[in-house]
Amino acid sequence: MINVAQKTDIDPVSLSVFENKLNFISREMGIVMLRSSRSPIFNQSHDFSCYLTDAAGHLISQADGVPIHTGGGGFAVERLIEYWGNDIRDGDVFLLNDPYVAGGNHLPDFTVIMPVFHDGQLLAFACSRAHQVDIGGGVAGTYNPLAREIFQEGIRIPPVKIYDRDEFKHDVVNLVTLNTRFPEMVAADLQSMVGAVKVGGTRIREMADQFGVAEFGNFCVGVLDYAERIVRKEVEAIPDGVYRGRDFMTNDGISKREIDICVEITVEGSDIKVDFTGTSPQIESYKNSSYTNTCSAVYLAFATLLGGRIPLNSGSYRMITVKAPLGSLVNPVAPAPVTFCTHHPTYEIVHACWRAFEDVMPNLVSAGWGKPCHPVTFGRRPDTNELFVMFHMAAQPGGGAMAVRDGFDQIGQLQSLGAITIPNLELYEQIYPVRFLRHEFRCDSAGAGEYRGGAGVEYSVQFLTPTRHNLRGEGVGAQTGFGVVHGTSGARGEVVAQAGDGEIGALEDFGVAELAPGVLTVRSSGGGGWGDPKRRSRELVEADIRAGIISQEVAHAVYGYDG
Amino acid sequence: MRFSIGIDVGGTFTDLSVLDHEAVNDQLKIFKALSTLPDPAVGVFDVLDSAARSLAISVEALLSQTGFLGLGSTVATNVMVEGRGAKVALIATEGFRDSLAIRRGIRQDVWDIGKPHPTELVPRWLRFTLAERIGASGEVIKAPCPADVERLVDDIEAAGVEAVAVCLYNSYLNDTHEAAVAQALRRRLPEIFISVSSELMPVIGEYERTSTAVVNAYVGPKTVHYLRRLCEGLTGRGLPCEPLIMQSNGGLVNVAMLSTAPVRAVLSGPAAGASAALGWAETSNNDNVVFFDMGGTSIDILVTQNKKVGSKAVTDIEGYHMAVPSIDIRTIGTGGGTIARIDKGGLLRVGPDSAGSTPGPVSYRKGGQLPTVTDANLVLGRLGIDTFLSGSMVLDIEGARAAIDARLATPLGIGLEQAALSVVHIANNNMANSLTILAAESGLDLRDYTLVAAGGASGLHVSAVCRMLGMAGIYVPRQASVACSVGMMQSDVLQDQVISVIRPLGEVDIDGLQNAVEDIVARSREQLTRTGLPEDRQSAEAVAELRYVGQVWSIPVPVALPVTCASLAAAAEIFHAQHQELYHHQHPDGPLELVSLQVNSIGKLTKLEWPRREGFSDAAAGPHKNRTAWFEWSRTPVEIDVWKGDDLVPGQTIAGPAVIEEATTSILLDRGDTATVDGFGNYAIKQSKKGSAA
Repeated sequence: MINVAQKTDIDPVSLSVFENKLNFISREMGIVMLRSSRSPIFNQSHDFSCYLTDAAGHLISQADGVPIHTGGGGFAVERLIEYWGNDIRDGDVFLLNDPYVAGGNHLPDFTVIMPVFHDGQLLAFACSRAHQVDIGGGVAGTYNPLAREIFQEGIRIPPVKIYDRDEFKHDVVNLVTLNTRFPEMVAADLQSMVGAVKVGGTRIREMADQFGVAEFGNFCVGVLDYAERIVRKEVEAIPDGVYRGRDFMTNDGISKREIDICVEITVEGSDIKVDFTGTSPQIESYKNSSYTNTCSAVYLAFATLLGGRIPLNSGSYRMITVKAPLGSLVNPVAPAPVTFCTHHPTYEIVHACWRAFEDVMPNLVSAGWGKPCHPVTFGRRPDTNELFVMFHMAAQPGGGAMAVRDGFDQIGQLQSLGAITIPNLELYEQIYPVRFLRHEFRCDSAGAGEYRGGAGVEYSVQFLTPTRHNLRGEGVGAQTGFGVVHGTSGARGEVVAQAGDGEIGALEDFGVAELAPGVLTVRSSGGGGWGDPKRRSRELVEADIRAGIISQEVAHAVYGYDG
Repeated sequence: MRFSIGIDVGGTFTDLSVLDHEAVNDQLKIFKALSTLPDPAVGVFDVLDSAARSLAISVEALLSQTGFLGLGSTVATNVMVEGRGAKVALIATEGFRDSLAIRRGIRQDVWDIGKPHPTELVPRWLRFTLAERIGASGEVIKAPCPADVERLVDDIEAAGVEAVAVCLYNSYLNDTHEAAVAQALRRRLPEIFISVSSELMPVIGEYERTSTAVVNAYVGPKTVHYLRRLCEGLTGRGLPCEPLIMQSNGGLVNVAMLSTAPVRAVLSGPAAGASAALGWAETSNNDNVVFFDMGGTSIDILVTQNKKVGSKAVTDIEGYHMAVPSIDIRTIGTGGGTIARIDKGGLLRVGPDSAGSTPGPVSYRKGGQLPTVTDANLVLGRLGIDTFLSGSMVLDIEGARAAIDARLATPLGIGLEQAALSVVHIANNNMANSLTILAAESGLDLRDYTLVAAGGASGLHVSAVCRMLGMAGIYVPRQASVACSVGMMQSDVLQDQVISVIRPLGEVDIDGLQNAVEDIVARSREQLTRTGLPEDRQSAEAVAELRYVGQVWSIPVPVALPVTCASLAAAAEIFHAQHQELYHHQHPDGPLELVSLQVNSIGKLTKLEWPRREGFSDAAAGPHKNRTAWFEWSRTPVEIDVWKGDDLVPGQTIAGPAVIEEATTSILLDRGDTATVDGFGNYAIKQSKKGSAA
């Protein structure tokens, strides 16, 4: 008999049913949130995750969620247990967000956690982590490029009770929502999060009835051990060795300078050590990464290298040790600001891990995804003078190529693996005082390769009112979608603005720009290519020329096309 | 007229149900023929031929006495699945020709990082643009220059395409530019299929509208050609009435109407299940049923709630999106052919891959090597070796035992039957878990729902699934395996149209909206009348999509016509209550937004009266035989009664554990289950609180 659960004697049939059921529960929690939430960040962008941990805070299922939350949810529950110890009771619901003391990833992501008791025994925690529409701080919309300390990024919440033994804590929730610009929406979304964890709790108790309260913990151990065993087998297939990868940011949000993210990955048997020694020290602005986010980005990189098909719990990451030097960009000391970490340096961490394996596992690595360079725009509606905040989701870059496919032409960002979808611009014209002029692929933006990178777009929008733009990307300063295995990099991005009939001026990808009514154009960056472009089939090169994705000149010069 | 006919052309079989209104008993007869590709019309005439022979008349005599013929067509579906549609050109607004390819970045499974998007149905060099623009309020910002339009038609003519899709920016607000382009195309290229987004569905969203117009163009030429020819064939052989075609929305239309919008037939086949589900909801006296149609590779799920089947505004096939209202059909990836194996971590897994019908389960003797759910059922004595497809196929039980033993039981270190029980147990859990997710998405409390088994493979699993989920009961119709062809005879003619609004409820231009509704109703009335439906059989209803301001997901709520302040206020009340029921909270003071209003124009057809099962001997027969079967609740094998469906009479009850064998399906009654034969010969199954999950 195969020894399935080494520390327990659970049979493999029951364990299979148990593990599957957990994943359905976390998915069901996500559906409840998606359907009932108010803010577009939840329900349009799906920027949240629902997950379950065992009684000790080990992540036992995260079947639903944005990829950059991968594996990071357990940290919050562990901190919660440290804080509240024996004062965690049936009917309590907790809220937290702080990355330094509460296991959060960044302040905009609130985490709601409910301990699940049955017959007086603590079985599990049902959790929901979601990006709020606003958390106070220096600017509306949760991302403050001017923050130099976390205090300017928004309200910091250690693990607090928002329900104390089923009693709703109005005072605590009011304190939190009063510190945001949209208290009603935040309150409504918190309700939606509480709804989700309550559904999770009900389902966990049903499972305990089915599998036995006393056995529940053993099953959780079995689920985690199983995941560990599966992934260790995959890791064993990677040759032992020390592999190095690097990517960099081109600005710290204040000035142009290269900021390094370096990894040294040691594979030994089925163990992986990821060491960030050599990474730049923490910076003044909000592109530092909290330790939780750093770990999630590493897990995300490995999950994609392994084809994305690994169990959805923290057992899958037990063999990975992350060493992030304190005071570095990837494990900063408080009160460094960190809000932008789910974008940058997430791209850079994932890219660095991928690059480390370019030589040893070329068929599994992806070329770099183009980095976004579009701003966030603030303005006032001409009719009501009401403030609006607009994310230019349709100015996304192209994705990186892999050995099995071209990169995705314009696709949602890497931290979501494209899960955050691109809105219809007809809808945006109904919501914002804007008129779109263009949204089309950008010729010669895709990195060349046997498999080419994804094309970026040319995106032009006319603002009918004065606007202010928080420039916050990375795609302008360098080619960001690097090529692999002799593929070339995708084009760098460009951001230009024209007020009225005035001059067209190029903008950087950091800082703030004020614009009189006029046109903003983003030429988004392209994804990197995989493999030697000269090996790309003639038929595909001709199709790309005909489609206007690549020019004749590039076809000749880079692909060696002789037609 | 003596006969009503429903025909469902499926991937493997063409099913026909014929209702003989003059027959004394056994009014409803069922026939199957193999589907024929590339010309499915051959299969249709084959199955008509079997029916006519069985009635001892000619096909001409059968058709000439037929007053209703409903047809489910998979032609459009097959075109999509096989990717063999027309060569299509697209006309888009200058600057916006790539929305089709960007496809909003939607990927089915984000973790499946190596999987590319489906191939573009229109390559970029066939995506033409026109300098024109409609603004966000429907105003003309730039009118198209007539010379540009003519040049565009020249280019398209030169490109040598079979169909053209037109989708211009903001055309859902003002269709004049699309109409001008369409007019020029139709005038100059009368042989080419023209598909216009605002004619099909004037809804907001350039991606979904473009994709709809393109899919319509892609499937159009083949679908229209096939349907016209089939209808000519049927009429030529005596059919006096116009055949009606099933649409994805579960309603019928005539061929002329469908020919302008063949995209509406892409999910034609399974959509007829909606009417069958509603019909059996009625015969079983349940307003709320979950229709569970299990075949070899998957289960199609449909839900009726308060005698209504849910619909979806946007649906997709093979990753291509269509904004036409469709019956809300969900698929669970477990079927009889689903494969069981031990995974790399040593756990027993069932699915998601399936042996399908080729090579099929090991027991089919068609070369399948891997044990499947069907093999496990056979080993457990739940499926008889000679009961498959009316006994025309004898199953290989020894092969099934050997495969389960070698590949599952031995590595797990457990007994053969224990391994087979485990396979069925995990498969049943997969089904129950998937139903739980579906219930969460639709806000259903499954305890209020009856599980209706359809398809050949459901009968062995519904008992366990129902018990696990605590559902209200089970209903297994005798015609379960040909549900869709029966459903065809239960359907009405239905036309729907959606009006995009997207305004806070308090700011809706009520008169303007009511005018738009009246326009749609008037147009539909004309078409329904042309279909031969008098005005007293016509009706219209409206459904509003409402949400709290800021939400993205809306809830469909009926609105009384005409649209007035009061009818919208009444809809708002229903919305708050529904939101409470679905999501356990509401905001009675929260501002609402009206997303859209769907107008359904219905032409009532004469409904099929379910034939009662009468005229049979009322002397109840005993069980047909005994068989050894295995259950989780017994360590030892259990001798169970096996009943023949044809022997049973209305009112008879059978207690589990037992198996009832019908011609094309087997029904497992577990311990604690009691089946009662109803007046239609169908089985209503109740479960005692005790009993056991299998």
